[in-house]
Amino acid sequence: MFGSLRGMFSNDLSIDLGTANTLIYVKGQGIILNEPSVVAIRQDRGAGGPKSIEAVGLEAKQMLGRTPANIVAIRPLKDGVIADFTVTEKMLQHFIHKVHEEKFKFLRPSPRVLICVPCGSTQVERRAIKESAMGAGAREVYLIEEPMAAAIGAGMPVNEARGCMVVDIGGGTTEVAVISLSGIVYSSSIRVGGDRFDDAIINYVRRNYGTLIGEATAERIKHEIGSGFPGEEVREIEVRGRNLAEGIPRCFTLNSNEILEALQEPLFAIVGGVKAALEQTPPELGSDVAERGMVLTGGGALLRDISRLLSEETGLPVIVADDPLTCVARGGGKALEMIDERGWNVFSYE
Amino acid sequence: MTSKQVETETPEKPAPSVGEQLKSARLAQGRELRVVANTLHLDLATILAIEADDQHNLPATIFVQGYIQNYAHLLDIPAKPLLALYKQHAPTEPELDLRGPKNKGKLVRPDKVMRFTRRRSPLLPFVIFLGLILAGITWWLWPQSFSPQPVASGVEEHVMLIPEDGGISTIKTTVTTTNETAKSPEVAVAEDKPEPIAEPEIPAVVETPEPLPQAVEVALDRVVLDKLVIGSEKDSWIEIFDADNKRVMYRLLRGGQSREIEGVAPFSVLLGYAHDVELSINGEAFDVSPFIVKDSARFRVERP
Repeated sequence: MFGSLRGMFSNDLSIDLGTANTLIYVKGQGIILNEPSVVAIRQDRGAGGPKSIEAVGLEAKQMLGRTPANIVAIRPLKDGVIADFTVTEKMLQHFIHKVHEEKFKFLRPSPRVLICVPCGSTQVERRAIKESAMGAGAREVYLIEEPMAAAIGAGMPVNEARGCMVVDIGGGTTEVAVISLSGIVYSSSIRVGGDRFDDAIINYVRRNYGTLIGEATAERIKHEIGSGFPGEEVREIEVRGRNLAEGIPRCFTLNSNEILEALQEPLFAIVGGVKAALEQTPPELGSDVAERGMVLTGGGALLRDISRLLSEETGLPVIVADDPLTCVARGGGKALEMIDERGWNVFSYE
Repeated sequence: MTSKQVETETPEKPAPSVGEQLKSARLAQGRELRVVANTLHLDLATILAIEADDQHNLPATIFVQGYIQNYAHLLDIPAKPLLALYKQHAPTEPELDLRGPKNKGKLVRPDKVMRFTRRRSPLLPFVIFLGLILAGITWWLWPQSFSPQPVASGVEEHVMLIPEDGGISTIKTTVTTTNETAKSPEVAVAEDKPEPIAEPEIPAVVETPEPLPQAVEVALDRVVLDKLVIGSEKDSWIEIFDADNKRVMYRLLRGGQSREIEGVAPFSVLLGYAHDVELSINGEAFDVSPFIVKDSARFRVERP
């Protein structure tokens, strides 16, 4: 009963609970939180000692790989689904409180929450996400499949009787879906995303330079000189890592062509997923997709020239959505607004 | 008039549209339309529509923005100003309606959103909460209405009274039940006979009350107690309730005995054998005979 009462003082939230980043969209306010999905946990007095949350989000991400023995910074989500239930719950609780802390300090928030889930997630994984959100204080939890939210957020006319193809490249997974008449005709989830790009860069540097670099450095390399297609301009970056032979930190230079080579494996896994989706799409919808093209969303769409790679490999127009990182959260927010405007029966699962 | 003056007087041309800018850049680079269409993987008609700013033959805004961006990258011209210009003149998108064309207003589409909790009326808990608050305030402001009333009965009881000096004191008051038979010579004879059953009786207590404080006397003056005297020649069951529905007598009255009860009138009286019962209230006799039905009687005795 009091959950509903508290709900009157809470904002409705759309949460893109991603492997790399968690974004929260508040109805009427837009994206108001975009933080890494990282939690730092402190455990004093040995292995059996009490655990406490040291930091969440950006602060915790800065601790990744730089923590003392009693603090561990972890990513509670892996491949788009929950790997550590309790920590995910604590992280969600922290973010929900953070969103409400300016407005209603005296009440524990109890919002309606819409969470985007990978289309390939199992019932058990979906239930875990739902339970986690309920445990974090949500009054009602709705789940929406990520490609649908991404398509709505990108502004695609998903309600038309024409095929729309959306490729959402997230941190842990890449979702490919063909949508027509507000329904998903085909969808697949490939467990390749931004994290696999980072791993590929780490492996490449270790193999070719005999040097070990951390996740944060690999991510920085990806952001600065990563690319999906050979360009005319070759960019370079200075990197510091621990030389495996000498055991001491060394500085060396990497260029964009090397990173392109490093990223070949995960990139072609994505290309393979898109081609498989095109093969499985009914011919009429495939024709629509060929005519209008596919839309890229998610943080992975920000990799330089990835749209060109997909375009060259598939022979279709490829479009990067406006602000691709926030498409899923914005799409979820729009869905929440539609629930209020048109009533629940628009979306009802029951 | 010099040529410079002519230039200044001619009205300013409107800024070239997105399509015009792209077309002029393409022509300046000497690229053919078909080559551009092949490179961008678009139909020739789409490229022509973009260059002609023909919105009717172009798909939704999201796609056109992408085409313009890709076209600008191909021609190596900055895409951002073109996109900003396009957004100014872009047609407004029809509102997204996920219910589909045939099912407006009634579509139940199971494959998009799953809901896990039942929707409840947001007003109900608020109303309940408000009601609880109001009940609490009422209880707090009028506690007297919920406290038990003082009762005059034939038993010893303690009364809490607040004297004028503000302190709380407890005094013992005794409502006496006198045994009139002790004074009557007729009953004295009857008492000489051995009684078969030793009925537990309230001992005849006549206590002189201690001098009460002034505040207590004032409080007692306000409560007017009525005196009911009941006697019977034969054994009779007696049950009497006072005005507060408190049972003040519930026992067998032996023949020849009488009892005096103090309480607040009216009294509800039940007599098991009413033929030989004599009753008086505040000294005035009360005739029970009209109420007798098959030996017993049930009636109310009002204050005279």
